[in-house]
Amino acid sequence: MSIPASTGRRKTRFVRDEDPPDDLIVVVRAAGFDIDGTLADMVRDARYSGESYAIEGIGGDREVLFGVSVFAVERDTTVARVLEKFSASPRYLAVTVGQLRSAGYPVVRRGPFPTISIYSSSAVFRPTHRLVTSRMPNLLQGPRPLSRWPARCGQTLPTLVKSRCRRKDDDGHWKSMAYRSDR
Amino acid sequence: MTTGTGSPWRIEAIDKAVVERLAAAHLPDSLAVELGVDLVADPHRQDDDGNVWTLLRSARTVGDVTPGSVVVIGTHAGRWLGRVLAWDFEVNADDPIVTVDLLPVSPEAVQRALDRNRPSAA
Repeated sequence: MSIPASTGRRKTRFVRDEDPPDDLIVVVRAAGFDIDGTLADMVRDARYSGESYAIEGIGGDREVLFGVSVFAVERDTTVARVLEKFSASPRYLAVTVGQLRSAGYPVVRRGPFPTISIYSSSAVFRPTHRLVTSRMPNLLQGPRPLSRWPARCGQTLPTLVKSRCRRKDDDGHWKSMAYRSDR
Repeated sequence: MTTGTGSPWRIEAIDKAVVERLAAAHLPDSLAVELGVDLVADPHRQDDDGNVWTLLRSARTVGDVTPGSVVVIGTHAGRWLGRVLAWDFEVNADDPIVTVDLLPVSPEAVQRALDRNRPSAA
């Protein structure tokens, strides 16, 4: 039996009462060429989030937010616009909300900005430092059943067929790239 | 929360004794040292006000990231300039949340501007 995380001494994230649609594209990450470094950044994000924030669910239950924020590409914007802040990042990964859900990650809309959190339920993911640091990498890249995180931008993705990356070509222009599934 | 209100030039300072206490207990974040940044943070991590946030433990030097400081933040995704808005002790008195206002200029662009505008020695 897993031990629910205590949500004491955590700030509550504002969660909007609307489910993002399955076909909504989200930019999961802008990344450099150091994939392991990118994964480490995401682990740190989730760990800090779990230590600092909780979300309030239906019925007022609070849940620790071991979350990673992603950027929603709403109708009035584009992936390129979302990536404007990341001009130094040669690659990115974008997927749909449906793909994240299919991979087993709860998705919530939060805040007044087009930001979405994907998170791991505390019932699955025990909130101790040791387990956070040991399991999050597996959640991102490791063996089944937590193997579906599409974070390996620039490499063959195990489950998500249409994930996209981009990189700068020799002339400094952005070039979109598609990666095939190995299944 | 220690956010200043009104003028963006006015930031509520943290008590010097608190800064010194936290600095004395602080170990430089190894990634901050490796990347050559003041704070390990990037725009992926955004709070409900749209500001970048991180924890004080991700600093290289506590005294360089007090509210009002202009800082270089970064991760493996890149480097950015920001201004520290506040330290928030609500969750942890020893490791406050540090909120940063991202500046829409790159560190390199600012460096180039400063380099070409040095006062003459005369």
